[in-house]
Amino acid sequence: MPNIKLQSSDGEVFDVDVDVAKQSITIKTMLEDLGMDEDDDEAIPLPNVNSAILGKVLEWCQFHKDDPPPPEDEENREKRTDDLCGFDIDFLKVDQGTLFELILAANYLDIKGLLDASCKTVANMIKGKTPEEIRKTFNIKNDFTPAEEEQVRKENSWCEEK
Amino acid sequence: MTEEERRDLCTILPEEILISFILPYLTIPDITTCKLVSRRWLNLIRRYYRSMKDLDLSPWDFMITEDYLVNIVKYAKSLRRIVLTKCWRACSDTSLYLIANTCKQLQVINMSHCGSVTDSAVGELAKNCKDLREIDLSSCYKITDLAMCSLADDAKKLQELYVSSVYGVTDYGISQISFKGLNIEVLDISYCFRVSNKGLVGMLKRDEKTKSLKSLRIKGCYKVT
Repeated sequence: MPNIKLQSSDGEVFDVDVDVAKQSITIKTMLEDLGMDEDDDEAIPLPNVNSAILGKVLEWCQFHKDDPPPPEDEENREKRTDDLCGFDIDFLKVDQGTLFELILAANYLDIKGLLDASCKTVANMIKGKTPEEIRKTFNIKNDFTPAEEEQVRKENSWCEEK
Repeated sequence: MTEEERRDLCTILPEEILISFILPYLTIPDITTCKLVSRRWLNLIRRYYRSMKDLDLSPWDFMITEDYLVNIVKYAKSLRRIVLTKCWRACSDTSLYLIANTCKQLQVINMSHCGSVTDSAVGELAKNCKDLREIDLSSCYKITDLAMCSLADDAKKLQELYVSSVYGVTDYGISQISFKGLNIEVLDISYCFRVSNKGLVGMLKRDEKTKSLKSLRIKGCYKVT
């Protein structure tokens, strides 16, 4: 298997199977555009991803390297969040900072499967919670004035009669 | 960045990711809950509403109030499809007029089983939503031929019309649809017992030329032979 080299923002170089790396559309496009091949010794710089995150991303790509390509039709995508595979659930059991960094990296590297899985994980952290619980989860300060909050609460109410 | 900002996903993640990849996984009640988290979240949700193409409130049917719907659609100017099956508390003239005047790109609207929908609300939708191609008014018992006439006059792109069990629809209303030159592909007039052969003749004759009609449901129309 041919390998390529990827360089993280902090300078670490990863030696990766081309097929694993090509799950990143960004890397795939770079390889095609630059006409790079396996003989090339030069590492591809990824200035937006640090080594800790790049390591995680590549671990994900390694596991999913035989996945079928994701379906194209955005519009008809099913909005389920309970369909993550066991590997992804365990893989994404990380602290929030890492999870957000993985989302940013998946977005930058254009790895749809990883982006979906990590975003679903965040959606699951919001689902079914009260506003106060969401604030607690993400450590957000409530900056509404009582009047504003009352106004939004009124917009949101649906069970009581007008 | 303060410790607080470091953990608020609204500050860390670009809005484009939140709107395209995270919020679509939440239900509408979850989204409305998010509005109460903070000002930043409230503004994010309003921008999310603006980008929404599809709104289906049927899972919460009669729990949805007029206000609740109004507070979503007043931002939702990109909606292409709205499903309000059994949301009869929400489907008032006020909210439907607002939809007609906000959602200019609307293509599909389902208001079946909403006894609150009026002819004038349908008229307003027909007049303003020029891309409307599918409307479901099944079991909207207030609807009459007047609504059919407005659709015939204004909804020139209409392809699918469902008026099952709308007893106010008669031969006149149905004949107007083809008389005004609409190329209907799917027509459901099942249980419209006042519609007879007379109403359908014009459409079927026209269809011999246009060949647009793909499905015609006339179950329970005992006057149609």
